[in-house]
Amino acid sequence: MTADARSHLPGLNPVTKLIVLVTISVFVLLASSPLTMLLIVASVLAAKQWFGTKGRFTKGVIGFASAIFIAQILFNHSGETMVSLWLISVTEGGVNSGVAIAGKFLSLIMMSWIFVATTRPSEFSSALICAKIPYRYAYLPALAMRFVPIFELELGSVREAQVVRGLKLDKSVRGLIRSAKYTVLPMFFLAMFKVNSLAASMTGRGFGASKERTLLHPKRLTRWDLALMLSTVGMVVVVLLIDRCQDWPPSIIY
Amino acid sequence: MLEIRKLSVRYRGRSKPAVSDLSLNVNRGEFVLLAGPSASGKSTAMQAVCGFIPHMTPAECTGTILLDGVEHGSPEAIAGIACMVQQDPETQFCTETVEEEVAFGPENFRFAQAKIRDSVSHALRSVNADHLMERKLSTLSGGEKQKVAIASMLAVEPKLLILDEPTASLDPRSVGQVVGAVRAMKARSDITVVIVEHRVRDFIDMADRLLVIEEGVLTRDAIKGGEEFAAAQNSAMVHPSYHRPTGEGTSPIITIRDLSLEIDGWPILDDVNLDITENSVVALMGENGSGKTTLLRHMTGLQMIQRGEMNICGHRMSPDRVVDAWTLGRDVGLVFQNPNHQMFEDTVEKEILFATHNFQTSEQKALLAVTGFEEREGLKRFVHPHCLSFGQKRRVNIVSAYSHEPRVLLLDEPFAGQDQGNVDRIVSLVADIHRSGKTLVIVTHDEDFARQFCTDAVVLYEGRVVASGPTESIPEGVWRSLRGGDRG
Repeated sequence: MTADARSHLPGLNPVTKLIVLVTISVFVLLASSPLTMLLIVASVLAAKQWFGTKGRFTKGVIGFASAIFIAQILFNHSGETMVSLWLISVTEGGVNSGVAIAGKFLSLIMMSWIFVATTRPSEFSSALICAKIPYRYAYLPALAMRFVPIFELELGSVREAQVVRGLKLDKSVRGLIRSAKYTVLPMFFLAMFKVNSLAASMTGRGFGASKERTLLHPKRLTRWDLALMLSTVGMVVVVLLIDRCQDWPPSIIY
Repeated sequence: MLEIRKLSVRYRGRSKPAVSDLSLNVNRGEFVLLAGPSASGKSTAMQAVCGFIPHMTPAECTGTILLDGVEHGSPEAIAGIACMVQQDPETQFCTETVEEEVAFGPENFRFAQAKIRDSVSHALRSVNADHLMERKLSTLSGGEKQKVAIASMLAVEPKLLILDEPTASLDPRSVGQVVGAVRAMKARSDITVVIVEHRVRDFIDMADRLLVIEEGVLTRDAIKGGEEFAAAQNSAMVHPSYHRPTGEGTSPIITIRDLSLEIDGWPILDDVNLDITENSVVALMGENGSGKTTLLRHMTGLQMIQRGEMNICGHRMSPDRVVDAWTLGRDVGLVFQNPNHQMFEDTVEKEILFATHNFQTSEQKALLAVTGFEEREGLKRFVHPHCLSFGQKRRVNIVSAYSHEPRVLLLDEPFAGQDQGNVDRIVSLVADIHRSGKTLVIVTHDEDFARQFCTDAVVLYEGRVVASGPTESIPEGVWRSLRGGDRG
């Protein structure tokens, strides 16, 4: 899935993608108009579909966003009442704030997913190093991205080992505490072992021995990257300024 | 090249030193085999040589280590002079592709780009792995990963290369690949090599010297050509012997019919048919990736049946009839490959009683198992399981998986990374469990154990059963193919 997704954005520099992601995220955080938010969510979901799908993850995120939306409708009673059903009254304020909060959550998570799915960890670190970030720090996100699937697998094995030895956990708070108790210890030792082993391997190959390092495949910014970065940042700034200075057309932010 | 003078290492919280007053020399260009039982201090000594101890793993460390006559100290200073390939290549990789991984070291040492390319191709060629250059690390087999791990160290052009149990956890075909890679490396360079291994059989013919460490002390230093070396060489060729337990039943306890599993269109299991009788000991064999672990997962209900059916201890399962892992767990125990995945409690006693409490079965026999473990291992029940040695952890896993007395016990590669002493202890434990009337299915690459100890064997190849039945009935060609020879 990830490899396919990556092939859709072959030449784009990861730093460009990061800056575009941060810029659009700022816009998403500022926007609260329901129509704008629905348009953003639709665009992000379409992009997500284009870059590939990951069933359980998408369902989980959409499920959580729906829960946020429903909670806002149930507990936010500001504004005029739109519909009244027995004890529940759906208000304009509840719907607007539900769309805004759930939309922000959904868009930010999905956009981050697209970034991770279309970015190779080593290319990302290479791009950060070319952007003059010290390589010790530039490698951190790459290592974190590399270890996520490994820890996912390890966690799966720990859970399976619990099940075959009869650990049955309910979804109550007590069950969650028990689950954490029996998961944290093995995961801690597994993580420590892996981190030690990786640190030894990297140090043994000279990582950190000098201030700089050569890159076999440097990932430098191209003119296209700069154009995309500037146009995205520029567009968002212009939209925000227009929105702030004019009475018409109606605000897309508020 | 390497001189160790009176090295002693004691890990924090341990009363006994892991290495005690160790002195040894390794000459330039030598190929040294450093042998000894598990936990004898071999790896500890080599980690101290690379500076990982005490700088990255805290320990009290005294003595002197000289590399080319110079005492270096920190791992950063030693990097590039002495490099160490650890047991599990997976945990050492920090990039995604073979080229990136092998280039990682030269990039850190600021080689010029053209030189990095040369170093990468030369290092991969040295271990017969130049064809892997464009591959992603995640697509490599265990043996290929180990070859890349060796190449990634060779690329920084160290003077001393240490390989710490490079064949642990590999199937015989992958062991053959790694041994071939080391042989090629030895033929093509004059690098000094130290191989830490308790299974000396694979490397003894290449070695110039054999050093043996026992309980942290150097007990043997034999040079090729000498009588002592020849004796060690002969004893390495002696195969261990096991006695087959008696008392196999006749009624089937596991029946599998037309079991198939596909993941992303790739066949993992293909029309597997099996009958396993009660109180038998079955060796489940095949190369890494042949479907052995997946078959065990089906037997425990962790993997749902996609096609076919299975009856285990009276639980009938099919795609329409799912029995959950918890229900099956009462009758079927499973010991996973990695001991650290399956230790949840803070004392050995609680760990052994874990399943008994969860399944609410009788504590009486489980407490006897705790006492038995204390007596056999000579340690207290209040010890933290994560403080045990690798061999002891493995035995705690087995006792814990069996404490609630399941009728079938499945063991996934229980001998991986264990020395012969630990293998013998596990075999004795398995014999005890068999004597109590239980059925055992053991995933193993150990042909001696399978042929001598197990009543039956099942051999998988690319998800298909290529041979099954009493071990005597398995054709010689199949055993040969398992060893990495031509498929029979």
